[in-house]
Amino acid sequence: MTEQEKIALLEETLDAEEGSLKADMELTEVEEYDSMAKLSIIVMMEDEFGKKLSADDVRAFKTVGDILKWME
Amino acid sequence: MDGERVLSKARIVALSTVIPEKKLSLQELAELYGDDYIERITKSTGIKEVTVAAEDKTSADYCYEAALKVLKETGLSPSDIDGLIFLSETPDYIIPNTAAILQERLGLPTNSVNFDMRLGCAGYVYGLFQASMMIECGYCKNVLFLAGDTMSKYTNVHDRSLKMVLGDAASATLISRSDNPTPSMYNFFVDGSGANSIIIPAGGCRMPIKHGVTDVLEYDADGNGRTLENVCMNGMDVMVFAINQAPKLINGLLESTGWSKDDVGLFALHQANKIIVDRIVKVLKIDKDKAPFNIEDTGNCGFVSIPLLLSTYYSGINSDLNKVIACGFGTGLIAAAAALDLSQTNIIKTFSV
Repeated sequence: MTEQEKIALLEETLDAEEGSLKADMELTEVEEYDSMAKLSIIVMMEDEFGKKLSADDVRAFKTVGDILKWME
Repeated sequence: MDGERVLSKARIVALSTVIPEKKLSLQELAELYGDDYIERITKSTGIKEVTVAAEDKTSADYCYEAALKVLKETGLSPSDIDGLIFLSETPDYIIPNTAAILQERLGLPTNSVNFDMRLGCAGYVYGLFQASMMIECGYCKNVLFLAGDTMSKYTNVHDRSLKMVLGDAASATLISRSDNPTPSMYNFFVDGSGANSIIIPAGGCRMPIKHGVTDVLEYDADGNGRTLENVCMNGMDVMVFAINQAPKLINGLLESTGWSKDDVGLFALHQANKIIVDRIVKVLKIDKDKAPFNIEDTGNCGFVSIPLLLSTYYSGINSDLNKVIACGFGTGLIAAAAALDLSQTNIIKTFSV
């Protein structure tokens, strides 16, 4: 999966507008990044990449790029 | 179902569920939280409106209504009831227990067994277990198990994550000794290291109410505002717990009962939110039709979500519900699953007061 595809998948997961996310964005700037969004990421990560995120893993996310690094 | 750990003398005779008349449409919160936010949350939780208890009504008041309904439908008199369990996280007082107040109000015998239970979303299964044990040991003939929560009284209006999710409701379940019993089995999980995941920090002995300290509004990183006297939930911790533990408990129960997934007519899962229910269905690889989701117009009503699901979709006698798995999970962190036979249970349709 290319970086662009990962970003697109993340945008879809967060229900964010296409092209709205960039790897260097702080998650505090991402309006859609709330508790339900975090749950959606946990589910997406397991379904798409077979990775089980812990709550602590998710809490460690600071930027969009931090999430993208797990998406492989 | 036979062998060890089977409760084999009780029968779940009837159950009723009541919701408050008042509902809060999430659209009404648009001015406070913004349209986009409402739309996004509705999509992921599956919730459009939540039930809200009247200001002057408590969990016990709703339980009282549900109890009257069960007594009326079964034709039992209050004097027939020799056990009363009141399950709630929102009791009338810290002291005394609310069950005693309900004993007097319902006119139950003064020699009946009477106590409160305090548990979160796994509570309904625990209550069934407790009531069935009171029958199993031979002490009681008819146990009225009342379960009600009005969490709206503890959620802060600035806490978007909870205000748009939690609903109020109550239920009454009659469990009786029977020559024609419906055996049940249980499976439990508890991990107290997650005690902070759903908590009202202040108001108990650990952190007494202190003006200017426990009633100060503070916002978390997600923009949810609450005081230490409000219910506070770390949704992510609970979600991870739910999607990991609920399937394990259910699979364990399938193994001990010898039931296959196909045998089971209904998986009555705690209706936390759509993402969690969908997830558990997917992990268990069960038919979605057998694990319905029904809280679009009530919200997550805590442990009442299981009887609410039954009263909404399965009112009447359902002879095909002879193999039912119920599973609750949440506060504690605690999860509990039950294998039940509800084929003879009079499930009374949800009503509102």
